[in-house]
This record gives sequence, C-alpha cells and structure tokens, in this order.
Amino acid sequence: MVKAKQKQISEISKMIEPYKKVLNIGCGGCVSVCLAGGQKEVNVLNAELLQVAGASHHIEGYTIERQCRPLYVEEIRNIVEQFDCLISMACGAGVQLMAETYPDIPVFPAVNTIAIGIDRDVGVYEERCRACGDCIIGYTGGICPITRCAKGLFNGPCGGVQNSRCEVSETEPCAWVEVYERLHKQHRLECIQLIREPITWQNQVQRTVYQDVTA
Amino acid sequence: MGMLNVDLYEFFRGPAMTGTLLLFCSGLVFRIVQFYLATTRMPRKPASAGHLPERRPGLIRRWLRLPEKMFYVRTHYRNSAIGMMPFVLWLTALYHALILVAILFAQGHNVLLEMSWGFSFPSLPDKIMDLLTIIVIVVSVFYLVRRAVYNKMKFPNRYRDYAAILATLLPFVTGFLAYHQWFDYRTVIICHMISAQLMLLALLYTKLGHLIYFFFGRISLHGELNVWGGRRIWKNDQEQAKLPAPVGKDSVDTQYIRYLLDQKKSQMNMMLMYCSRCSNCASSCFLYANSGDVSFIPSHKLFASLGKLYRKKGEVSRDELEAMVDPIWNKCVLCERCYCPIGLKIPEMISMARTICRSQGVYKTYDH
Repeated sequence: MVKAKQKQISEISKMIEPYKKVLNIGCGGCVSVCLAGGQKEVNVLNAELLQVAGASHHIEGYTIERQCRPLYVEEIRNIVEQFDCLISMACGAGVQLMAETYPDIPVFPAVNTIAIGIDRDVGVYEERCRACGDCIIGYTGGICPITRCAKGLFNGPCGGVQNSRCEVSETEPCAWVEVYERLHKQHRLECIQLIREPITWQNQVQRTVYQDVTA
Repeated sequence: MGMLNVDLYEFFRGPAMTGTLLLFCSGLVFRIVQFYLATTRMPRKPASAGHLPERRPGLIRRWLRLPEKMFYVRTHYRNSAIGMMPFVLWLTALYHALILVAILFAQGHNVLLEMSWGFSFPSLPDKIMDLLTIIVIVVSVFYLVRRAVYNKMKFPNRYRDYAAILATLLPFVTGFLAYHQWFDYRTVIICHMISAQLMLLALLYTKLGHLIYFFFGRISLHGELNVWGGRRIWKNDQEQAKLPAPVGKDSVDTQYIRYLLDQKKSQMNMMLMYCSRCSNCASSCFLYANSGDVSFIPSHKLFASLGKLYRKKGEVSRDELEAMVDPIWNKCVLCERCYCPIGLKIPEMISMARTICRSQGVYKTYDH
C-alpha cells in the first residue's frame, strides 16, 4: 500500500498561519494503515497544532473513508464551505482530488507521501515499488532493481559491490547479489543473462489506467 | 350466506377495487415525486484550470463506437449479479415480468375493465395465461424453498421476507383456482380479489416496492454498475452542516447520530425498506466468495450497522457502536463492487454507518 509520513509540525503550522478556520481531513485508506493520516492521527495533529498555532486558530478534524474517491470527497461539501483552508492527511493523490473538488479553498498536505511499500514491523515500512510501469521482477527473482539498487541498474551489479554490500552504504546489501543468489537457488540463472534494454520511464509523465476487464 | 357472498363480491369488484386503484395510482405518483425530491442531477465535472471542456462526440463517431460500447455492456453483464448467477437472476427477471403481464393481459381482468370503464388491454389466450400463472406459482414456491434451505439466504431472514413471497403467491393461486372453477367459485374469487388488492397496495407501501424502485435504481440513478446509468444522485435532506462535538470514551452523542441519520433520511429509508434480502449481492463480494461466511454478505453488513442505527433511531449504546466495527471495517473494505440487482447503493450506506461511528470516536485502528 501507499506509505506516508507526517510533515513537521512547524511546516504545517506555517502553511495554515494566515487562515483562522482550519479543517483537518483524515483518510480512512492506506494512510490509516501506515499510521500517518487516519482519524487517530487527525486528533493527535489537531491537538499539537492548537498548541503551536495558538488559540486564535479554530481547528476541526474530520475523517472520510477515502480521499481518492469523488463519492466520499463530495460527502463533506457543506462542511468544507465553512472553513478558510483545508489540511489533507491523505497521500498525494487524495490531496489533489480534494483540491480539485474544492478549487476555491486552499488545501495543504500534512503528510509526505513516501512510497509503495511493505509493512516490516509496526511503523517500519520499506519501499518496494516505484511504479515505473514496466515490471521486470519476473526475471530478477522478485527483487526490483529499480527500487533496491542505488543506481537502478538493469543489467547486473556495478563495480562498487564489495562483500555483497553496496558501495553507497556498508549496511545496504547489493540488490544484484541478492538477485543472483535467489535465481541460483531457483536454478534460473539464465534469466540474469538476458540483456534488458533501457525502458521508457513511464513514471515521469502522468498516466491514466484503463482496466480492460475481459475475463 | 349466498346473499352475503353476492354483496361481498359486488363490494370487492366495485368500490373496493376503485379505491385500491386510486390508492395505487396516487401512491405511484407519491413514490415518483418522493424519489425525485430525494435526488438531484449530478453536477458536471468541474473544469479544472488549463483543461479544455469535454466535448461530446458527434453522431457518426458515436455510432462508430458501438462495438466498444457493446464490449462494455458485455463486461458489465459478466460482472453483474445476473452474469454471476445467470439461472436464478434470469428466472427472477422472468418472474417479475410475468407478474406484470399476468395483471395487465389476463382476459378476466380485461372483461371487468371493459365492463367498468369501457376500455381494456389486449388479452392473451387463456391457455398461455394458464401456463404463465403456473410458472409464477412454481417460481414462487422455488423462492420459498430456496429461502428456507439455502444457507446463504437463511441467515438474514425474517418472517417478513417469507410474507413478501406469500403475498405475491396468493393472488396467483386463487386466480388459478378461480379460472378452473375448483372449490366454491364465489369464495375463491373473493379471496382472489382481496389478495390481489392487498398485493397492489403492498407493491407501493411495503418492501415489495422494489418492483417499482428497480426503475429508479437501475435506470435513473447514476452508478458505475448500471448499464443505462442516469445522472441522478442522492442529496442530503438537510444541507445544514454540523461537526461532531468531542465525546468521552464511554458516552454517545445520540443527538448528533440522529442528526446524521436525518441528513440522509429518505435515501436510507428506501435502501432499508426495498432490500428484499435476496442475498444476490453475496456473489459480488470477494470477501464472501473467499470465506463463504454469511456475515460477509453485503446486505447483512448493512443491516448489522445502519439497519440497527435506524431501528433504534440513533439511541445506541457505546458497546453497540463498538460491535459495528466488526461488520463495517473488519468485514468490508469498501471496494464498492457489491452489486444489487435492484440498484441499492450498499457502499454509500456502509460509508454512512462508518461516518456515524467515526463521529463518536469509534473506528478501526491499525495498531498491531
């Protein structure tokens, strides 16, 4: 799922400073799961903001089910109209739909959207996908070289690998060594010998997904 | 006794029938007005800065897109309840159509119409009508049996769901007996008229109204799963906005719950009233499909949360609210794929139940 991390309080309070009536909107989707922007986090952030911004601000909280769905964003139209600005605790997509739906009111993000990742532990999330739009992990033993390799190399490790470690950091394992070891274990080493051509970086432009449901 | 029967016969054929038809027509108008007052036309997508407004393609271009359109219709069909359970759903469609056909095109009815008001619909031959009646009776019995024995249907059942089927079955059985002149004709025909008049009224004022709501839900309302989706959406009964006041850990602000319930009262009324608990939404819920547990059926989740709030008019305790976390959060991911054959919007209602719970500080937390 999408992983996000809350911004510094000082940054958020600076954004909302000129506005007196502020509505903080949480999202019941991915950011709830990664403990960044659910209802609980809305309550906590509101309490903190009141301390920082002072009593001159009127800050309220409200959580909707999902900020990436027009149906739920529309639900709060009559509430939103009473406020001077909105804080959205959703991922980047949610903030943008909120801003698109209510174009007359400034919408500020309260979280930094980090990655599509996995839950390693409570509050520990590791990035696993960069949504490049051209998945190749079928040939690399289920390890994404774009995310895991510091240089995003497609064809084998660089010269910087030492003792299976990446030259960027001694604690980071080299993604390509892991790819080799996993493919070796699965007797699929021929996959690593395929030459992968440079891909078109589809995540550099805005994409729209059209799902063909033919099954 | 004979005198009494004649009088009763005349009464039900004359004034009672006229009264019923008047009530039916006014009720029909009432339902249509009620629906149009509770909904509004969907606003056009706001043109965001720098975007050109959407242009509707011309006639030729629209015709050229027909194969594409057919593809979408096919996709919709396969994902719909009727595509998932073709036998039961086609049978249901046939059954409902036959009910209308039997009422309008029976020769006996048309003769009476001609005699009373001097006009009539075309009549179907008696042999065919007899066959149609038998089909309706058999399908009704099939429904009753299915409801009684099928595990998926048994769970959310109440006496009302059986009564609804019986109310439809009775006029057809009595009509069939009257046509064949079995038993005492007068008694049977009076039973037929009473049961038919009751059914006509039930068609508007009870959950049998789904036969009429179907046209709103599947044609007039906007919906991703509607093949001919219209552009109407539900609107709030009260536009006034109120934010929840903070509540303690074990108290419940019943007034605020009541306010939220009142805000979408007419939509909720219709959803809860017209759900006939056919359990056909079950096949579209992937959680139910994976687990087979009846508590995952979308309509069950709806009745376990919003149904409860509605029945108690918001006067619920903290424990009852906390018990709702299981059906609406743990057993529903709000993927909005639940497919209602009559076009009820189950996800909107579950989202509303969630909003109510959230306003009282009851929600799913993800601490492990």
